Parts: sequence; structure tokens; C-alpha cells
Amino acid sequence: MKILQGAVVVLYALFALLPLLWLGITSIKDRDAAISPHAKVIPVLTAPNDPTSVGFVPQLDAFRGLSEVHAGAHASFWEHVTSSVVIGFVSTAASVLLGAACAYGFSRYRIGGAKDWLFFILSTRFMPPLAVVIPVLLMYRKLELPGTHLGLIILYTVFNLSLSVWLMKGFIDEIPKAFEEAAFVDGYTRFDAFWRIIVPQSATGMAVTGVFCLISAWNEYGFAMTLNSSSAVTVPAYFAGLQGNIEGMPWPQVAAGALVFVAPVAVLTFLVRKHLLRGVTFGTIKQ
Amino acid sequence: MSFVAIRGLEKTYPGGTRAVRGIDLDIAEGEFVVLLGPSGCGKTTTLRMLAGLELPTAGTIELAGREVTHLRPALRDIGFVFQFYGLYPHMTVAENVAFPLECAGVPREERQNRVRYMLERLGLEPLASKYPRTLSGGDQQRVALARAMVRRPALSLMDEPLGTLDAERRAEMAELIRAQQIQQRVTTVYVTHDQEEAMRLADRIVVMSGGEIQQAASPMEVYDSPANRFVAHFVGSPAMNELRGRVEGGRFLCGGADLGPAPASAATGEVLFGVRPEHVSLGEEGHLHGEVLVDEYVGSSRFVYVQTAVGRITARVGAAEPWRPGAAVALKFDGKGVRWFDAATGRRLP
Ligand SMILES: Nc1ncnc2c1ncn2[C@@H]1O[C@H](COP(=O)(O)OP(=O)(O)OP(=O)(O)O)[C@@H](O)[C@H]1O
Ligand SMILES: [Mg+2]
Repeated sequence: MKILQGAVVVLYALFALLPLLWLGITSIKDRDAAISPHAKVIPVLTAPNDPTSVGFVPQLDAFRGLSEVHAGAHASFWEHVTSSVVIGFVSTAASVLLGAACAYGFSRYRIGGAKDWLFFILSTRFMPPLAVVIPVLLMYRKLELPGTHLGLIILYTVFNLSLSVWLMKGFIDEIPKAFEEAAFVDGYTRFDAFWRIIVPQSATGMAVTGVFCLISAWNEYGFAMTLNSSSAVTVPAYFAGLQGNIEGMPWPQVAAGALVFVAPVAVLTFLVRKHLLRGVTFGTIKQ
Repeated sequence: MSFVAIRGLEKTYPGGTRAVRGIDLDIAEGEFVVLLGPSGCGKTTTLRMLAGLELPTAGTIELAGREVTHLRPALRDIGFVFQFYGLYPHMTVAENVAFPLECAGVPREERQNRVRYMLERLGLEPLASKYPRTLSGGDQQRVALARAMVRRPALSLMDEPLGTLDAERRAEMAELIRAQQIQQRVTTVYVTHDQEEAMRLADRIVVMSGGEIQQAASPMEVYDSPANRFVAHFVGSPAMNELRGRVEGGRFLCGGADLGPAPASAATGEVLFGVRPEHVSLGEEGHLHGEVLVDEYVGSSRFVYVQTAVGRITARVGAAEPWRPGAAVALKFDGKGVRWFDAATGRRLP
């Protein structure tokens, strides 16, 4: 049984990691090797004479090329990463803080119809977000938000809020009320108690929620593509925008960029991995 | 003028539980009042209303001449020791103790001095930089006490602060709390369901049951002149002996035996006769006859449980002489120790 389990996990891991492996290999090819009709998969030291060989000469040019502004783009990869970082982290921070504040209210006050409100909040996720891309675009035009960081920040914050409220409620419910009550007695207001007691107490919960929000904002493609066309666009939309330009797709640079792009999220996810399970079960599994 | 004045205080929880049903109580400045009662009688609820952590359904609370019934806790100048938890897990012991001072805006240097002094008094210095979760329950409770006592609040509230300690530590900490209270003269309301602890600490004991005050009096008075049967049974261990009988012609008759003159206040009819074990003596001659069930030696004395025709009686007698189970004995009641209760209302008859 154990062996079978292990085998399934290993097989799945191989399957899931294959695209990453392919990205890795492509990022160290030159463009010709990357688009060759004969798959090049083995790095070799000297260029093979036979064009059907599986060997290619590894190089790091693609990583250096990340700072170039490619044909069909407004800015270099790094500038788009900056956009992704600003949009991703600001919207994540906003989602988590607003979500925590809202969850705190649901957790600590008696709210009429609290269950219905919570269901309503979650129900905003039932619809595929892209279904409303046109109305959002029209609305944003009026507000002159397309092409700005702020536009995507607001959008991602709102979309992640429902998840954040639900996750944070699970975490905050677990913090005994006595902690805040002690603080009230010592002279704290609700607001102080929230910042000095609830926020530090739910720090791991916030980190987990933050990672979930960040992943979804970081990888979002549809709205980023539709709303933003300037240098304020995030990396997924930037890559897509490189398609169909006159020089063709710079595949090694795209692969190199994608590798760089997944790194921060991978690291953050790894850091909170111990707490993720509690997150996805809405805090119903205690540690 | 009382320092704390509680008038008609009531609390009904949203679920419908009537936890407190109309409490009137005056507390003098510097007084150490103990709320004593069985689990669920509304002690914690009363304390939480005093603190402002729970809003009363009815009634008022005055503190130092100011009505505070609906005031938020921060504005009442109180200290609170919680029954459970209450220490911040993300702060060290020293930070926890310093917290109320920090909130009160005490300057850094004075804060450190006072925290150090308090930790020293409670023997907590070695733990100063530890986090609460690494401490034993008893140590955590001591830190909670240190935190409550580091500041001199107008009113100090303690909810079973010794509940999690072992017997030896309990006595030691009770002594410390009392010493500190006497030194600082902080008006204190202390909650416990342990009657011995209540006796040891209190200037005045408030015995509660079912959300109502049964009696509020000095420990001696509560013990010697319980206001009703509930108090008589709850305070004192082993409990007061009780015999049900009739008053006829000024005499108390129980199971055919004449146990002596009844009080003038007792009308002819059914009454309850109460006597504490120390006012019962064993011998050849007496009011009642019975058979020794158990002889319990407790060092300074022994408790002898005797089965009689009208019920089981406990006597507290000298430690020197053992009593063989099964032996026939006669019980004698010391008239000065006898208390009378109304059979219907349970109230003590004067
Ligand atoms: N937050 C609450 N909501 C509803 N009912 C409550 C709440 N807190 C207490 N009660 C109920 O009110 C009654 C009194 O409770 P309280 O905690 O005041 O008793 P207590 O005397 O402190 O008991 P203990 O010795 O067990 O601590 C109990 O029946 C309890 O179940
Ligand atoms: Mg209680």
C-alpha cells in the first residue's frame, strides 16, 4: 500500500514537473534550438553537426535578454515584473487586511443573518470572473482605470476578498476572546486590540491567506490582458502580448522569464506549507 | 458611601440563560470581597459585568462615585485575572507583565522597575524572557497574577486565579495575593468555588446560588450564622448536619427523640435542625443513638460518621481516641452550636 502510494505521488510529481523541466531546458537554448522541429533535450558542449540530433549547446543569453524591450512590447520583462509585484502584493495586502477586518466582525459580534451574509460573500466566487469582463471594462473606461496599476489592484482585491474573509474567519475564530478582553481591560480599544492582538495572533493565518491571494493575482491573465495594454501590464499578459509580432516569439526569453516569475510564489508557498492544510479546510482542522 | 454600588443587576444571555437575577451589593474601599458559589451560579458573569466585558440586562453599577454600567472596560480602571488563558502567546513573560503599564502610558524606566519587582515577588525572574506556552499551567497563572497586580487599579477583579494550581501552590499564592492586597489596599472582588480559599482570603464572603446572593457577610458570620440552608451546606467541610423534625410544646422532636428546647421563633410544626460536626460529641449518654460507620482521622481531629434512626450525623471529635466501625454510640449536641431553619423556605430562624 505504502509503495503504491509512493509510486502514484512520484508519477504525479513527474507529470506536474514536466512543464517546469521543459521551461528550464528551453531557457538555456538559443532561439533556433528552441523552435527546431527536432526536439533538443540534452545539453552538450560542442554544437552537433546533425540537425536532427537531440543535443544543444546550453547558454544563458536568454536570461541576459530579459532586460531587452522585445518587438511588440512596451517595456522589458523586468518592468513588467515590477508591475506584477506592485499589483500582486498591494492587492494581496489589501485583500488580507480587509478580509481579516471583516472576518473579525463576523467572529466577534452578533450579526443578524451572519450565515447568509457569509454565504453571499462566498457566492461572489460562483461566477467565472471573465463572464463580467466586458461590463468591468466599460465601467473602468468611465473611471479611466484601464492601463493603470490601480485598476488591477482594485479588481484583484475585490475578487480575492471572499476567499480572504472565509479563510481569516476560520483563523480568527480560533483565537480565544480572553486575549482581547484582557487588552480591553488594560485600556485598549477594539481597534488597538485588533492591531496588537488579533493581527499578531493570526499572523500565520494571514500568511496562508496572503499566499492564496497572491497566487491568484500573480497568475491572473484574462483581465490583465483586457484592461491593460501599456507597461502597467502584468507578466502573464506581457508574455501573451509578445505573440504574433514581426520578429516571432522569443521563446528562450519567455521560458527564462517564466522561471524567474514562478520563483517568488514557489518560495512563499514553500514557507507556509505547514499551515496550508488548515487554510484550505477553512480552519476546521486544528493543529 | 460605598466604593462599588451594585443595584438590581441582572443578566440574561441571548440564549435565554438567566445567569444573574437581581444582585444588590455594596463594597467598601479597600475591601476584599469573595464571590463564592457552585459552578454556573453566575460568579463569572457578575465579575464580567463589573469589568464591562458584558453589558447587564438590567441594573446599575457605580464605581468610585461614578456610574459605569455601560462604560467600556478601558475607562473603568480595573485589573482582571481570567479563569482561563489571558496571557498573550506572542509576548514574553516580562512583556506580558509590562503590558498594562504600557497601556497606561507609564514611562519605560519605571515600567521596567515595576515589572522586575513584580516578577521577583512572584519568583518569576528566571522565566522573564520565556513565552507563555513553554510554562506550566501554574506558572502561567502566576504570570497572570503578576500582570494584574503590577498596576494599582481602582478595582481588581480575579476569576478563580488559583484554579489551575496544585494545593501547596494555592495556599502560597493565596497568601501572596492577600499580602499584596493588604499592602496596596486595592478593592478586590475575587471569585472562587472553593470555600476554604474564600474563608482564608475574604473580608466579606458573598455566597451566590442560581444567580442570586444568598448571603453577604464576614467569613465568621457566614460560617456561624448562615442565612439559609444553602449557605449552611455550601460553607464548611464536612457539611453541617441537618435533621428534619417537629416543634411541639416548645421542644424539638425528631424520630421520637426529644432533642431539647426549640427556639422561641419556631412556630409549632416542621423545622430543620442544623449543627456543625464540631458541636456534636460522642459518648455513652446523649440525645440520639447510632452506630459508627466510618472513622476518618485527619491529624488534628477525626470525623466520625454515625448512622442513626433519623439519618447520618457527622461528629468532629478529638484525634486521640479511635472509634471502631460498628460500635454503638450516643450523640450529644451542643446547644450553642445548633441553628434552626424554616422547613419550607430554608431560611434560618433567629
Ligand atoms: N456567553 C454566554 N452565553 C450564554 N450563556 C452563558 C454565557 N456565559 C455563561 N453562561 C451561562 O450562565 C450561567 C452562569 O455562568 P457563569 O460563567 O457566570 O458561572 P460561574 O459561577 O462563573 O461558574 P464556574 O464556577 O463554572 O465558572 C451558566 O448557566 C452558563 O452556562
Ligand atoms: Mg466562572
